[in-house]
Amino acid sequence: MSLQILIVDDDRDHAESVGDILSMRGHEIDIAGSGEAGVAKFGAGRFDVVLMDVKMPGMNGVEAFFAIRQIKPNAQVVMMTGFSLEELVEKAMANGAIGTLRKPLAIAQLLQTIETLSKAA
Amino acid sequence: MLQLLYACIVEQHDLRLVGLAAFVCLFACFTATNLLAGAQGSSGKRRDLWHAAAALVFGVGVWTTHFIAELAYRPGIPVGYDIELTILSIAVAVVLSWIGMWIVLSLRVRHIGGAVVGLAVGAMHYIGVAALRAPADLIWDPVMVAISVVTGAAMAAAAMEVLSPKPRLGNLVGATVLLVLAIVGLHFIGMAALTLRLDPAIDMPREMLAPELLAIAVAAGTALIITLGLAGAFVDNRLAQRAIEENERLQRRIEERTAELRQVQDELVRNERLSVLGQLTATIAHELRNPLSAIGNTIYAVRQRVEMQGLDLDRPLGRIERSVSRCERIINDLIDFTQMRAIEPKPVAINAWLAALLDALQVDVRIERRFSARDPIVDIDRERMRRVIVNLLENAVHAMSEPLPDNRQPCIAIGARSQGGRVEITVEDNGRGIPADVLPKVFEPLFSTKSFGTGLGLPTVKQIIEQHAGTIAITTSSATGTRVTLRLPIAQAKEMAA
Repeated sequence: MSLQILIVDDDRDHAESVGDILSMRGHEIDIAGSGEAGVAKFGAGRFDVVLMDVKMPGMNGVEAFFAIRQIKPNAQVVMMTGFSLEELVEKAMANGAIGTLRKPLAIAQLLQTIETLSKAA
Repeated sequence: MLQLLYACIVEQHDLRLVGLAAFVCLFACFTATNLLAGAQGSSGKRRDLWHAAAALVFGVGVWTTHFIAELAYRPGIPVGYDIELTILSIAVAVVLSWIGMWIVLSLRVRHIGGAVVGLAVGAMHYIGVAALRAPADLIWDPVMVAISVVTGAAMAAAAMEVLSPKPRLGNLVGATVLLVLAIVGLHFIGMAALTLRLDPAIDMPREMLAPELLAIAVAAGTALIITLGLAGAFVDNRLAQRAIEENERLQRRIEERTAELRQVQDELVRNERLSVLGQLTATIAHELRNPLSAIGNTIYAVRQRVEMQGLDLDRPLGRIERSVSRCERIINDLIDFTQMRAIEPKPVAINAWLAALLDALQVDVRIERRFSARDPIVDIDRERMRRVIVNLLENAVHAMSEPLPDNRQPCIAIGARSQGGRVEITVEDNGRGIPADVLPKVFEPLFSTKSFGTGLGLPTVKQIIEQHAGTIAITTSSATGTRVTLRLPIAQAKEMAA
């Protein structure tokens, strides 16, 4: 089924490139350019999934993740990171983030993650 | 005068004793010269000791020589020796020698010092002759006496000149010979200056040394000289040996310390560089991965749309995708090499692990497995060690990418066996080998012979192996190919039956 997906990434081109792929699969996409904007949009809307970049100026992805879980404790958040190893990401994973996608994204993995969530929804 | 000397020596002396006198004289002079050289080469207490020993040996040596020669003197009448004068003669010889040598050593006026040493010989000689007791008058030829004293002083002065401040063997021998000449010359010229006129009216004193007793005293003197000479040589040897050993020890110590310091410094520089490089690479990697990801995602989306519209853009899009993968690969290599993270070793049965790894990999070349029957356990970080094996396999495949000589079929042999507390993993290809000029550089970062290489493959492999306390070695030949041998410590020598 079609999902409402929020992509939070300070790199607008990257966010849109991910959005393109997912909207072609019939999902509804919204984009936020910062952690703060992401949390605000999440609070205002009804999103099934959040794709969250980690390294952003201001509120980073993990802080935004915790803020979103405050709003909705079972929010489905997938982290996206360009770093090979990151303690921050591990912290999010340990606290209920449902997956980590490494950049450059392996598109098969991205689609599979969304597919699984879509079936569960 | 020579004829006189000849007649004196041959007709009035026992030649066997003359020979003995000459030998003792030679030995004493050589020993004294050596001891004096030792004094010249040292300082403080040691120098005083060498100096005293040299004076003692020389003084006693002169005295011994004189009295052996005097025992050889057979004037054909009963003779004896005055005890006090005999003792005085030896004391004067030693003391004057000491003073002469002191002038050489401390005032550094070698010829004056030498002349005083010569005077010691003369004083000893004439006091010694004066100690002779015989029923005869002693008649002296003053000219000959003067000649004898001057001869002794001149020869000894020359000896001290020849014995330079830092003598070689030649100087030692020269000085010895000159000292011998001083003693012998003075003695025989001095004896030729003496005529004994028998006078039975002269009473022989009661208290005097019989020739036999004198012989014993002379023997004792000779023994003393030999003992001191040997002791001096021994101490000299020991000191020299110890100095050499100490020197070598210091030298080794300095070399070890220098090597340690250099290693520590190299490591510091390397770590510093890696740390800076690591931070830089991490930042660049992150910054590049974002746009790369955007490009990759976009190509994917474009490909979908293009296919929907039936356009054939497969080749150009494939090109972009491959280029993106290459960029990604470069970034990963850089990060692998510069982010030296701590390894997380876990015990692994190496044969089974290698077999599973090879099963999972797709390699276009035949791989031969040569595993030992027993499967050794090694503590490894599986992810990092996987990188090592994959890297070595890629290199092997690359080495065989062009047709091989002698029509040989590309083949990789992977072996594992335990060998003296270590596990040996070998990756062997039958490719073209590594050229001799390339081999020394293969572990240098950024060195590559591949058109798409980052030159970080083998440096990373080496780094990982060293993190596992292992070693890596490469043997190569254009005829048989290249063999890389990894040696890793076995985990507490545990082995599993296959």
